Amino acid sequence: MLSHTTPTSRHAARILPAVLLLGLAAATSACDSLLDVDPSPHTVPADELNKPTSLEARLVGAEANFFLAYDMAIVFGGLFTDELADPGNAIDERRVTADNGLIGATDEAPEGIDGLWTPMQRAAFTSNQMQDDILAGSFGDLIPDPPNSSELARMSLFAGYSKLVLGELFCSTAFNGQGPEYTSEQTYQLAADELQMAIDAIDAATAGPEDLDVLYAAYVGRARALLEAGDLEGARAAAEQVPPDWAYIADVYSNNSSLEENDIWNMLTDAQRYTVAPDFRNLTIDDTGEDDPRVDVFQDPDDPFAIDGSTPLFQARKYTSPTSPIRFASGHEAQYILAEIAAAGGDAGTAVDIINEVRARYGITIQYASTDPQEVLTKLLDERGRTLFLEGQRMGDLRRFRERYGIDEFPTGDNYEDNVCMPLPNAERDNNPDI
Amino acid sequence: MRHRSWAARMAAVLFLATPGALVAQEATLQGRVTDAQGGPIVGATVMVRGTGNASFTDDAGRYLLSVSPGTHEIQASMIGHRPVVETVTLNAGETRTLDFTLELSAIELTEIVASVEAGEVTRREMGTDIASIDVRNQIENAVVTNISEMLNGRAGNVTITQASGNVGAGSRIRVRGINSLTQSNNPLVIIDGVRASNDTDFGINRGQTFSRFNDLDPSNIARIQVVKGPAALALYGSEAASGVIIIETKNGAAARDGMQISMQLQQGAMWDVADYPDHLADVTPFVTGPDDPKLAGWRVEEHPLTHQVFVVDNPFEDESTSPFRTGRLTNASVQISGRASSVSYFTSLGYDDETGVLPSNDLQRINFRANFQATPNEKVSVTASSGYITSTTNLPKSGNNTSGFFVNAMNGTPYSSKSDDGRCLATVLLGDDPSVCDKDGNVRAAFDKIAAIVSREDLERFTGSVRVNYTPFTWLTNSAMLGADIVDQVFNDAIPYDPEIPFSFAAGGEFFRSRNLRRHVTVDLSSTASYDITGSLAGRTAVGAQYFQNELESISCEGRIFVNDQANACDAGVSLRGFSDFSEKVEVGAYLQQRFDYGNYLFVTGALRVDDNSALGAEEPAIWSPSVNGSLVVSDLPMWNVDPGTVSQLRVRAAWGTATQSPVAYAAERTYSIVRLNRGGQIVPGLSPEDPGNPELGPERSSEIELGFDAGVLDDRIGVQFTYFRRTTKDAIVSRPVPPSSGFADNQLVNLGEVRNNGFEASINALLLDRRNMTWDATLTVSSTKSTVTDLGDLDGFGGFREGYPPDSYIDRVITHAERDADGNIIPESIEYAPGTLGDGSGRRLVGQGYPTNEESLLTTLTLFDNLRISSLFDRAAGHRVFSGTLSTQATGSTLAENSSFGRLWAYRQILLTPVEQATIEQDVAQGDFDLFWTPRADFIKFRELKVSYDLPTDLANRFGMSNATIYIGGRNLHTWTDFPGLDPEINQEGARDTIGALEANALPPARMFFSGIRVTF
Repeated sequence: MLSHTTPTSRHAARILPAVLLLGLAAATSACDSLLDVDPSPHTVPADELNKPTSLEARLVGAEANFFLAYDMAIVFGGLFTDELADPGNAIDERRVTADNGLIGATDEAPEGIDGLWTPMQRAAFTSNQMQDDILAGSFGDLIPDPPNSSELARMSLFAGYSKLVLGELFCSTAFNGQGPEYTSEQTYQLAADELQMAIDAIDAATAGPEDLDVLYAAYVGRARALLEAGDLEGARAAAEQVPPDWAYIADVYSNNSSLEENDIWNMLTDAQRYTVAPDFRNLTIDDTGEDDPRVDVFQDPDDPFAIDGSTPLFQARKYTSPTSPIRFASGHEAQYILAEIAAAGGDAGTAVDIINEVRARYGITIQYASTDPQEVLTKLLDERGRTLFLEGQRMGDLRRFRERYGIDEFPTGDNYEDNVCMPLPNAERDNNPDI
Repeated sequence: MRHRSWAARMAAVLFLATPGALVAQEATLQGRVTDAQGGPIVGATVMVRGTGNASFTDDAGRYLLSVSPGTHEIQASMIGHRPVVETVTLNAGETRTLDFTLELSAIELTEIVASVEAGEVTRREMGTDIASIDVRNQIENAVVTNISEMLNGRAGNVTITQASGNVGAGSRIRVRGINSLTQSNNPLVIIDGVRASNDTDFGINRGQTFSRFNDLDPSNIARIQVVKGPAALALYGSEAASGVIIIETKNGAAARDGMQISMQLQQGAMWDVADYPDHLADVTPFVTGPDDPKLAGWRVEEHPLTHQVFVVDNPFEDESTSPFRTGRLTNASVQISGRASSVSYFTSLGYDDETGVLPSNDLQRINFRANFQATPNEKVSVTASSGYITSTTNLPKSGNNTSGFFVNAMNGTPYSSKSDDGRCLATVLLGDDPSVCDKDGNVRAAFDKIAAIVSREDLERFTGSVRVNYTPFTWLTNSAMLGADIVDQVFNDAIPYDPEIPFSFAAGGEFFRSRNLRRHVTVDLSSTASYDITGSLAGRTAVGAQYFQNELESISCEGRIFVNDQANACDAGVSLRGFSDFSEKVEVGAYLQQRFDYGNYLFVTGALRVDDNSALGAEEPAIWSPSVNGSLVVSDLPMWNVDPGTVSQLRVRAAWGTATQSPVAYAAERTYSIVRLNRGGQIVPGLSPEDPGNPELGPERSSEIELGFDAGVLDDRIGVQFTYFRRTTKDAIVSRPVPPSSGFADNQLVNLGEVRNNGFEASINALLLDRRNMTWDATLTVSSTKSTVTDLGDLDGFGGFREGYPPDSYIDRVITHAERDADGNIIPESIEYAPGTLGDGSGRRLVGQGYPTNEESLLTTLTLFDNLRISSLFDRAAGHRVFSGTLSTQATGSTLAENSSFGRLWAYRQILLTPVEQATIEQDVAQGDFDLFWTPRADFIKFRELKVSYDLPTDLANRFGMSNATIYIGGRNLHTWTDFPGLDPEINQEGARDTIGALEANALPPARMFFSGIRVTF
């Protein structure tokens, strides 16, 4: 029973609700300042992005996103082709389906295997976002001449390469969270355009060593993209700009965390999940019995098997530690592009000369000789596979040589199926509003 | 955002909340509260009605109360008894004796129930159903070691799932089903007014979790109340949609001057009683028969039809390898309470020492509590509550860990089975493939290597509050409360250095250490005014404001590869990593509640609450939560003339209300995380997109209708309660995937979904016998919940959720008919399916759900000669299925699977399996989803508790200087009736983690326990 009969309480009955409603309203208006909380120290809010202090971190972030995705792109490309084999799970080889989370969309699988589509898309997004912000003048005096800045060149380089890699690996692509769906050919053109932006931003006459690396890498990448797209003249023009003995060595990996490790080493040597495939074991030069130094693989007698305990494990001496660098663009590749264009045009001699010149740089004295352009093309595919072993070239090579020259070296049988590119992941198709 | 320390906020509010002290001269009321037979009623409440002035009776049934001069209504009440009200007029300085005799009753409408209002609110005034568990009384009859066990089976639709039989491990608590698809389904826990930590997510990676809920000592608790649904939750803030568990500790309102000492000692033992399945390795190709000498040292079975030879392996059951031991429990406590002048106090020191049935599972805990209540004058009372807990808990490596007991005992390939003399079966039989016995994943680690792994939590926890009640006028009561719950948790997870460690990932040792500091701060201000409006219409208005702050600060390190087993600090390893984190969430709310009382039989209450929460999106406005409820005590209506011998009490009630569940901290913000790059040997930081955020992210909004009645029939010998509820959670937060090409990998939280829960709770409490030397009462509780996802926006079918189906549904094609050929193979053309219901052409239909749809419990107590009590508890859960990892993990899908236990089923299929079961297995394996055969029905009945206690005759107790003494014996988990083929239908590999589903695998089933104890009072 609530009853308390006093004159005071009757008075209260009349005024109390009004007073309390006023109090309630006052309390709600005072809430805002109480709700201030410390931000999470783990992340940076989006509104910090365009502050000058964030410039360097964003440049580093875009570069890191590319290289931390690139190593795993090499692994997945190797599995899809004949560079690597998975002893345990056929799904990681060429039985790739659109709903395959690992290759398709996963950022990092619970087993610690980094994914492919999502990390490389992040690289494309962050570098594109930086291009836009740089050109919009968001960083003021820090980048006084945006179109001709080193920063724009670097971001365009990674934007171009991330699209180039995705174009080579996937049957179709999409970017920046929106459609349309691009064919590989369209993707190559997008990549070539991005790389041209990098080239345009650097004045070769005044560029320092780092900018020259960016410039030559952009030329190599553009040549590769245009070659893939079928623009042989454009590819030749770009490739000719690259010194034959130049290379961009990405010495960016560390043992700071598993994400930052060289994933090729991680997958082959540390986790022992994958092995160098039989096609790249015990290779000799032209079947002479002389070991090919370009494909130096070995089986550790003290640790001979992969994770399943029974599959022979062959590791690559190219990547012997978590910090091993990766060569992702080189004069060799530019020379091979020139050789391919020459052979495709019927000039076998130029192509053979380039093959032997590259061999010579590795100390290989055995000379290759042929006058048959088609035979030279077949040899060129083999030479590219060896020289550029586990450098992320094999997928594009096999696709291009199969489609353009009828030279089909995609492995078949066993776990392999007839796919020659990875389907656009469902994670993208189902959630991209414009596809 | 700017930082303002929580301490500064507390100080500011405390300053504002402190009233001035007032002084006056009082009268004293004292007496005894006894039952119909004259025996003392312990813990009865004696209070001055309409005020917060109350006292509890001591073990002799005595009370003492300071009362202001004047005429007062004094009420004595006790759960299970009919309350009695007497009117007294007292003069200043007078001491008056007033005794009460309370009759047993199966229905209780005048019980004080939880409310935000200052002052007491009785159940009859509330139109909502609030479950109340009188711990003080249950302690007499229950066999419990922690609070989870105390709740189990004692409140309808409060589902306690014991995730494992490990001591110190947590249980999952759900109130009225699953309300949220992505946010917390854990109920809020409030201890003496303080919003307290109820974290259930911390524990062994992929294994059992530690329990914050069970930190409290049950003997310190006076009462637990469970506020179940939004109809009653409007006053508990923006994180209360999953229910609120309100815990009140004994508050020091002791009965009489002087000191009372109580001591309790309980000891117990426990045993693992689960049956673990054999593993069978088909060795037929390698042996001449079951007597082949190569098989010496292994157990061997021969298939009766095919004459296949199997090596049988069961390291859990084989005495020579079994790691199980007898667990021991010691629970001791000393409680001192008393009163001096206007100050009463309650202090308690408890000690728990428990060892589980698996090695490396133990718990030591010291629990100290000091509560005070001071009444300096009739206008001011101050209540202080403080509890300090320090504990060390080791959980054994379990769960889906390759270094855990269960994975090694039950999931390893039988070919790695070791013979009596340590030979490996694969080596003996296959010769050329020894790696089966020494590589990751296939190894069967010796249990002594697993037992050496440490997963230890060192905990210190303080929970305290100070509440000041100030009553300047008899019609106005103000209350201010400031409290905090601070949990300092250190977790050590270490695989010691051991050159022979079988886990290659831990070669050289592994050490992980983390410290998590959680702070929950609560400030609660309220004022309540009571007044008459007309002669028969009275009103009560309450207004209040609350502030909640929740902080988590963590720092941890990890080291790997050590030189020996002594130097194992993180930085003594070859590999060192460090981590730190911080999160903060603040909620501010205010409310206005208005209640009308017409004739003391019709009560109508309306409330409006407004909240804001730092986790909401910047564009999300404050949250308004209205509620209204009504209670009509029909049996008190003037025209009511039903014979009390038929229907003695009848109340009908209805309620509607809303509640919200805010998202986790920072969920609305678009964020970038740190990514690192090596540049010329120097690691430099960069920024990378992480969480897309959602500035429009709002809370989940639940609304609920609740209808019910309470009735006492046959002179209150039988009490019946019934409640129907229907709850709809709109704006349910779902995790919408974003296209990876957007640059963000995390899903985006959006308010898209809708979840509906409806069901009922009913209980019948009957005094089956009430004789001079024998009473027998029983309570049957029946509840039902149906949870359905009713809307997912454009995400139908995402994340396993599907519109029109339960949140934790299992969906598959159901085989109804299949035939085998002469070789035992299923004839594909013979397979027939039940019609599909999804409408997507897949032929799939709902197979079942993971959450029980029906739960029942039967709690009964037989009392003989007033001092011998026999109590028991049975509970049942039904209508659900549980994914049995114990079965499915034996079908590994590898080439050896057919030689595993799955292979055993396979080989014996013509004996053990029907064609439909065989076809279902084949379908499950082919699909790789294990949704059907491996997800069997999990209905069970458990004989949960049995206790026999005896109160020594008072004369005998007095001879030893005691006022009373009780000895008891009891048992828990005494038997399970179930057709569930896994280890136990309750266990969950993931522990008590706040997830939707459960996985029966790799966890210890509840152990069978027996106790004996003594409780004495001086």
